[in-house]
Amino acid sequence: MTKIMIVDDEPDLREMLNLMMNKEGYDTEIAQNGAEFLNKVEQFHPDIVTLDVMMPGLTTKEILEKLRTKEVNPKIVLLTVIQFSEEEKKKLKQMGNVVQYITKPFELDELLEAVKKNL
Amino acid sequence: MRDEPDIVKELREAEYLGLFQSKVQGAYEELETQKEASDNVPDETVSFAEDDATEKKERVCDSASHEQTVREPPDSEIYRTLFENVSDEIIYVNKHGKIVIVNRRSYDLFGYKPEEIIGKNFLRLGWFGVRDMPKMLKLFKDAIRGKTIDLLELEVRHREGHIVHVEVSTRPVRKNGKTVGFLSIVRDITEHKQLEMTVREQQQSFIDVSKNIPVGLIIADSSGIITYVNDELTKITGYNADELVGMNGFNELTRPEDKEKYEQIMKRRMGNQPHIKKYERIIVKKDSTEVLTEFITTKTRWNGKICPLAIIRDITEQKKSEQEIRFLKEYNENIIESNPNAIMVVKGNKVEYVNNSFVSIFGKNKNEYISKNLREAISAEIFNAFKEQLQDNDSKIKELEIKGRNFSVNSFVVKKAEEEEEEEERIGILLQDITERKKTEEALKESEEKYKALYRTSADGILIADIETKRFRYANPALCKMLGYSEDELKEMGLNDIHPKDSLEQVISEFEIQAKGEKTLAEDIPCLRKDGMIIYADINTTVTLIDGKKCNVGFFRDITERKKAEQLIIVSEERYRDLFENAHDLIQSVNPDGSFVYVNRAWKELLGYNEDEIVDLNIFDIIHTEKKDHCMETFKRIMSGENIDRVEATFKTKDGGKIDVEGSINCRYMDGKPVSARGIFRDITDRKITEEKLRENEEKYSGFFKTSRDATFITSKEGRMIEGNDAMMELLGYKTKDELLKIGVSEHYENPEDRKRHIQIIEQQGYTKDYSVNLRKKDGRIINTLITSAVIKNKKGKVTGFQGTIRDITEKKRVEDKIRQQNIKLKKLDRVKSDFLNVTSHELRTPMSAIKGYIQMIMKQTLGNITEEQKKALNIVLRNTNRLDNLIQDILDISRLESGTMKFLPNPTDISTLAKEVVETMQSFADTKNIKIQLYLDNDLPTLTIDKDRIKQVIINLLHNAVKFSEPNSNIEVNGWVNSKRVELEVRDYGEGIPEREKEQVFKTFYQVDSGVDRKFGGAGLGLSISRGIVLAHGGNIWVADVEGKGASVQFSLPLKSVKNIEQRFKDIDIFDLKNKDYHMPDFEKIIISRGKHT
Repeated sequence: MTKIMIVDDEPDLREMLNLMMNKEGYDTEIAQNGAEFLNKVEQFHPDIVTLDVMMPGLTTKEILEKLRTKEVNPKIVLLTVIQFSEEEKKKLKQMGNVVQYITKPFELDELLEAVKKNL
Repeated sequence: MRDEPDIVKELREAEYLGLFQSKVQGAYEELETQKEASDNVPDETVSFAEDDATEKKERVCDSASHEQTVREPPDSEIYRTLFENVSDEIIYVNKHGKIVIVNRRSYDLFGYKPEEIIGKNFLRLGWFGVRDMPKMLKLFKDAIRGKTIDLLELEVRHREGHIVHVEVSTRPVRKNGKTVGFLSIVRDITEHKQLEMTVREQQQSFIDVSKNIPVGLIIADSSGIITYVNDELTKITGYNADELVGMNGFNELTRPEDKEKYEQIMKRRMGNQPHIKKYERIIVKKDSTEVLTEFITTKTRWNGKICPLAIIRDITEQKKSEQEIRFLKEYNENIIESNPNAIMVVKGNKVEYVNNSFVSIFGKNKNEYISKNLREAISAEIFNAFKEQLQDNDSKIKELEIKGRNFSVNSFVVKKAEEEEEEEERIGILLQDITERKKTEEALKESEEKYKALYRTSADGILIADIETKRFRYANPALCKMLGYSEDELKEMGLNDIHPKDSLEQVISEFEIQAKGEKTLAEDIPCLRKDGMIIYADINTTVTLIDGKKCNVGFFRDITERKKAEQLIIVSEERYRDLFENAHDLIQSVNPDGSFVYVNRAWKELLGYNEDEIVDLNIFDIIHTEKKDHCMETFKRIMSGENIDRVEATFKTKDGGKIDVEGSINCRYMDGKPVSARGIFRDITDRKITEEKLRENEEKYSGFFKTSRDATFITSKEGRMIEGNDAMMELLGYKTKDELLKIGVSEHYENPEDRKRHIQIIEQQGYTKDYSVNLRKKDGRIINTLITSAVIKNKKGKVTGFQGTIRDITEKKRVEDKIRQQNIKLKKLDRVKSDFLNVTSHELRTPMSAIKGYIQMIMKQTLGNITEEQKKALNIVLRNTNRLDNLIQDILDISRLESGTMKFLPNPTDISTLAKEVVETMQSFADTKNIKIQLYLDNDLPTLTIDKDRIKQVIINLLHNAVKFSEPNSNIEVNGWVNSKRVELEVRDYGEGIPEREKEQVFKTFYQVDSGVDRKFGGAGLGLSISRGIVLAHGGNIWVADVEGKGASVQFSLPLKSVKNIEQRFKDIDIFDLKNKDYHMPDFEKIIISRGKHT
């Protein structure tokens, strides 16, 4: 079963995504910040991670850097309220396996398509 | 000299000649007769121009006749024998010159046999040289004309080439009284000739020799007739050679009384009897004077004869000198005799002579010395000295003391008289009394020692130089020290070596002047030391004689130190004087009586006096009458010892001008009495004039000046406030003008240094406009002012002061500062707002995500089935959620635009592809109103370097608006083309359109065309503002174009050439100010309020 890990500091959104992904038939795990994500990621071993860009604690860059030291290599879908410049996108891509950027608030279908596309 | 040829004599004697002659003649007559028949040559004609033919014929005839001759009859045998055997050649030549008969001697003589030459012309046989030919022709002619020629010497060429000397005698041969030829007898005299030549040569060489010898020579014959004299004799006698030869020496050259004596001498000489070889003989000269000669006679052979030869020498001069010598000898003897020195002559060991002095010095009489042995004759002392001297052989004079007197002993060899031939030489002893000289010498030595000591120890350098060579002879230690050379070194040097080259000329000239004694002291003479240093010396010179050479004795005094000191004084004096002379101030020094000690250049220039005039000038002459009393009073006060710091006076120039001065005077005292008053003054005429002028002006403009609301001032250059109006007083807070003018201008400045800077600028450009300065008010408060000021110049163009106005901008400045502070505050607020927007946007959008997510999940019935009504309601909720989200997005962008934090990332972008993508994306939105978006792009739109996402946003915004303002089921067109250097895109709709008056307003923030419209379509008006900002940042433009018919056309352009620094441009562009004016800060609160109104 495809494993999706949902990382978001916003509980409502996190629950919403978790609910939706379960309903879609994916095995999910949640984390409310970068640190928790990094703790759980090796154990859960997700295929895809939806990662919120603005969370308290570690920044996105720090999370991606640390992820590289782990024994996993999930595909990353970044959820963001800000637009990244091409340059920033390039840098992020070099750091990890970022496959998609989705701007909040997103259309549900957009996100599901992105997940399906990258499985 | 020669006798007749023997043959002829013999012939004659033998009387054969006649026979011979007739016989030969007879034979010839026969021949001639025969010949004349065939040979028609005229008798008298002698021709050498006969042609060969004639010659040949003749020769044939001749040979024929010869044969006939050979065949002579026997009775002529005797003649023939005779003829053939005579030792002379006998030849008969006919009148044509042809040899008719010739005997055998011709062969011996000339190498031709008779048969070879008979019949031939004798002149053509090569016997005679070309030179002799004319003579021979003449002889021939003479001969055939019947002339007899005797003993003619001729040179004839032998057949073998050598010359044969012959003697020829010819006799004509006649027939019938007519000469038909001649008979010649030719004798060989070659040998004789050679002998003669030899004698002649010897004689000649004798003559040549005798010519050049310095004695006279006479050769005479036995009777005394002179046959030869040489040149010297002509000199002795005064006769010339021609006169002398042939003269009888005993008659002409001899005094009559001597004649017999001399003849006797000669006879004895020639007769080999005892005789005197050499004797003195007086010769009487041509002019009858007599000359004493020495005669030496001898015998010689002259022209083959024994003759007397006399060698004669003029001994007149010799005799004279002999007499003189004799006189001198006597004279010398007298001198020696009376000589004060004792003289003794010794010959061998014996005394030969003593003079009187000797006797008087050493006692005894002369006879007691003469012939005595020297050893006995004189004291051992003298003898030893004498011997020593002889042995030493160095002719050094020995000195000895005899009887309390000093003598020098000198020996000399007495020269022999010429005629004496004695073996032993005479030695003279000269004893000279040198007692006095000795004394003098000792005195001299003493003084010399004294001088030497002086010379050695003198502090002055002493250098003795030869005047002629300019080389040094002596130098004392002081001088050696002075110049750094040793005395030995200096002795090798000369004047040229101890003076610097450039002053050498002067030094030498001084040296020569001193040498002439015209001057003794040469001052400041530069001397070159060995170490190259130059020292200066005063040289005192005297001329003296050393070893017979004139020398300059120079006493050198080193004045280098003194000179240095002097120069220092001069330099400092010059410096001091320079300072004085070049000062602009007037400087004077005045005696108590008012006369001038000194005035400087500025003083002279200003008052117009020259140096000479100042001598006669008194201080009161230059004081202007106006101030005379005041000045005199002041002067008196100064002289009485009062100190007056500041004096104002008025001077009178030479031409009567007036000069106001201001300065200080101080008095110099000596022994408590004033000796001079020194004053330094500054010309303040200009200042005075300026001040006066200003005062005049003040009157003129006083009304204006006083009432002017601007603070107006006049200051002197030095910084005195000369005038200030009421406004000025008010500005600075002073109540009275006096109060204001008392204070120096600099003191009004908050920072006095500012005035210097201010003045510098005014002087540089002549004025300042609104120069910002902080001034200090009387109460100490600082005010901000702007000063507009200009220079005041005097007639000469010199700046004397400043005038200007001051504007108090303290209040203005305060307001400006406040505005600036507010601006800063606003900007801060602005930033806060941006941050606020950023955070708020995020916070706003995050819940939006959750809301939207759940709505969509419900609507998709993921969470269970819902009714159609529920679905419809949720759709409305979703739409409004999206609207809210869009609004938040726009606010976020605006926030970025305002804070200048929007980022641009330009990349090469294909504009066609971009437009297609946007149209595809927006079509789904347009579908909601069933609107069709049509894309019309020119082919080959270029690739542009732009921020793809931002430009995409622009097109989306434009399409969004177009869709919003279009009626459903209508069309929207997107057009693209290249115009000039730009790509232009157009979004054209067919909706409401934009009213003309609002075409520019639409780009304003939060603008929507019509509230009515707004109500109908909703949405914030931020899109166009944002789009405009983005397009302008890219170097493009955006505008609302005119359209035909319904709807609107919004167009924007992008340059083909990319623009640098888009972000910077974006920051610089005031996106809220369409025409860069009427800038107003959008108020966030108002936006919210306005937004609220629109919602």
